[in-house]
Amino acid sequence: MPIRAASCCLLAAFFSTQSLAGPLAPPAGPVTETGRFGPRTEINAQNTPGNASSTFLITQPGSYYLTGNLTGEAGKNGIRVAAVGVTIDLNGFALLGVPGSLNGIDSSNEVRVFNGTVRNWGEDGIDAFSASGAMEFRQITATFNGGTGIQAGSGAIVESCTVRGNGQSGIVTGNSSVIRGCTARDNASVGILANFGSVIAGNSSYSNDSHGIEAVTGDCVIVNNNVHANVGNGIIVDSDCLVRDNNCSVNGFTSGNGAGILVTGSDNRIESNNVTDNDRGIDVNATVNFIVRNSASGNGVNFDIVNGNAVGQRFDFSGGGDIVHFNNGPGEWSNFEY
Amino acid sequence: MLRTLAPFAIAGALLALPASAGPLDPPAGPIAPTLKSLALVEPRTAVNQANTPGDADSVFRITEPGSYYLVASLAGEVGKSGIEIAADGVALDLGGFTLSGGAGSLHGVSVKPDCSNVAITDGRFTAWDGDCINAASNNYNVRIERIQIRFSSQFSFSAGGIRVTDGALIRGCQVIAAGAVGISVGDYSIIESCDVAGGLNGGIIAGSGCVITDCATIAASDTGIRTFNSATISGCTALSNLGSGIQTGSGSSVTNCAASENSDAGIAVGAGSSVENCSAWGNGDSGITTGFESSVLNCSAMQNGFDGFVVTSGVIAGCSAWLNMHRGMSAGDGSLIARCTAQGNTADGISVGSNGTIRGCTSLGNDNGIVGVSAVLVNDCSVAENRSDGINVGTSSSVLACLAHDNAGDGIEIGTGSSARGNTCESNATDLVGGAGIRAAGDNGLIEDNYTSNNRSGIRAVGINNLIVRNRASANLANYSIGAGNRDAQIIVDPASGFVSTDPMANYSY
Repeated sequence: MPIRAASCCLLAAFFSTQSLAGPLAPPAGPVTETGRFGPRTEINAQNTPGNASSTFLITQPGSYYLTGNLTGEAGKNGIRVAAVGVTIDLNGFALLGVPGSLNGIDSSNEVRVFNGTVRNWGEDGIDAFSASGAMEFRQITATFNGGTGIQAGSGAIVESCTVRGNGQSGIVTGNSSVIRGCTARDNASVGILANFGSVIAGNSSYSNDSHGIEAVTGDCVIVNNNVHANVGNGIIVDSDCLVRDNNCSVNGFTSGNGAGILVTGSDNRIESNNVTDNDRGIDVNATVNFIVRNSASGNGVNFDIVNGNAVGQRFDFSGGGDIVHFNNGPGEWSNFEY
Repeated sequence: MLRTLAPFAIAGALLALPASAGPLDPPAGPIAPTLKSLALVEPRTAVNQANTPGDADSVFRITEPGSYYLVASLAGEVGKSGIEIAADGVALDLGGFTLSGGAGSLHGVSVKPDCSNVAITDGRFTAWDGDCINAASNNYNVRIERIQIRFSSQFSFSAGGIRVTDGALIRGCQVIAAGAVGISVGDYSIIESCDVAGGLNGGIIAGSGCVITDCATIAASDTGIRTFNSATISGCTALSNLGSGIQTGSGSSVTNCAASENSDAGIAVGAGSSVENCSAWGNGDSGITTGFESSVLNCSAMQNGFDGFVVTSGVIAGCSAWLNMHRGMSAGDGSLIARCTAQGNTADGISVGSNGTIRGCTSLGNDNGIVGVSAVLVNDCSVAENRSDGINVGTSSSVLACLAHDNAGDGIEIGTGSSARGNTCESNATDLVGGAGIRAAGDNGLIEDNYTSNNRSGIRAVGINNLIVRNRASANLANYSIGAGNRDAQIIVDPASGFVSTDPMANYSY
């Protein structure tokens, strides 16, 4: 049964002659969508025209969204944020880089970005490292970018993101940031790297060409992560960190040289971690650290800890057996090999 | 002499011939007509004030069974229906005339409750404030044919074009801009060869057990064709409706239909349904979606705003998914996807849940080519040029006899307890640190009898206790990247011609 195209014309013709509703002329100004959070602005050439270095340029605070995939241009960023207080909803769409392109999203101001993919950009997927303030990056997939997958400045929240195959690190944040529920794999450098005062919790970091998780300047909380098969160390910390309840396995993969957990500074608490099949299990090269309740198995060396640290007594159960608390036996602070 | 005698001779001869006609005298008795009476020529009853006077809410009212016909166009009146049928067994021929309602009118033709076996044919309706034809109160066996409706109750969310209860037959009707719903029928009805444009609540709405054939719906403000359970829809098109194109309940069949540019799904069927030989193009949401235990056969889904195909569980076979804005095709736990193609989709090409099977499929230019959650069987598939992994399966899965080449991620990645056997992986992950032709991402897997070449790593095992035997790796950046704790057989490097090996499990590197 053929479509009656004339029906559409008749419908259109009829409705245009009736004045039963309000004025048809839209209000002045760029087209805005009234979303759940108020009016939003579509990212396009009319509303957010670009310049010599960016395909789209956002110069006004507000909420913005994509209505389709965005393909980059050589020599340009995809979206440049040049205003404070910008939220970008990628709306499930992708920012697709091309050879010679710059960053997918480039911002020197606090920005929120969520719900989409940023891939194949010549530099970073998202670069907001020079920004500070209330930044959030949620549900972003950043893959196969030439630089870092997601770079965020101080005070950022990076949550539920996937970073894979990036030419440098997967996720890099400035001070006092939170990285939670993310997956970082197959990146050419560190999977997750955070500066001091940050929380790294509930992430998976594996098969990266350097370390899985790095707290480069210390003062971090690193908890409940799974760090696996990285060429370098699973977790590497400087000073003043809490490293607890992590699972670190097969790090120092193949030709690499890595510990499950490497401690290079002081005043760290290394507690209740499980380290298996690494070149070294827990490797502590500095003094004045607190190392308790960890378990280690199958490492080249299970515990490689210099003197001058407070270390729960180590018990070797590699031959199996019951762990029983008695005088001179395992206690609540003990470390175990099995 | 002969000349003057000839006429008399001829006359005499003629008079001598026998008589050939009847008597000229008329028969006895009064003069009677010999033609058929008007009642025999037109045994039907004309609809007019004399034969079918109206009442308080109708212009004309039919109260006796029989066959009726309209003799002129009908103009509606305020507070009245045009023609009210208040008897069983009525056939109403509208004679091609137009019933025009006007402001304040009720229905065009209204069939009173409990009146059945009604036929309404061959007329036009316009500008009624109620339904054009309303037979929605226990009116069974209603037949409506060759009716045209235009611009009637068009801003109403309650009144529509044709509204009938169960067991109706609607055939050859055209409904344009008729308010709430163009054609609405109850259960066990048949709608054939109808066109519907517009409809604030939908184009065609049908109950359970209906058959809808060769219909078209366009530009409804909701779903184009919507049915309840056990519907059969064939040969229909749904275009540019603001809801889904075609939507059915459970146990339904949709065949040979096309759904394009609808704002929601193209075709959405309930559990236990089948969709066959259909196409879904350019719809705002997914192309074709089904409930549990459904099948989608020989269909195509292209450039839809979300997935091409979504099957909660069941079978997708012989289908193609191109350029959809999310996945090509996705099936839930326990599903089978066979002989399908997925190309150029924005997310994964083919995705199946746990305990699923993917067989004989091709996946090109997607995000991941083929993805399986766990306990998935992937056989005889070809995956190439995907932007992430070619095949990525979780735990307890098997990848057998597949070809993976030129994928940006791993050619094949398997999880814990999974196997990769008899596969060929070439030119994968060439720019991906840690990438491989075949990657064992978990533990206790089996990698056997595969051939890898020109990958980042040929075979990479990052877990432990993976058994790696009888593989061949050539010209990879690293032929084997096997972590400690795995159980890889002897790797024979660069075997020369005529080499002898006593290890049937050996791997080869050259």
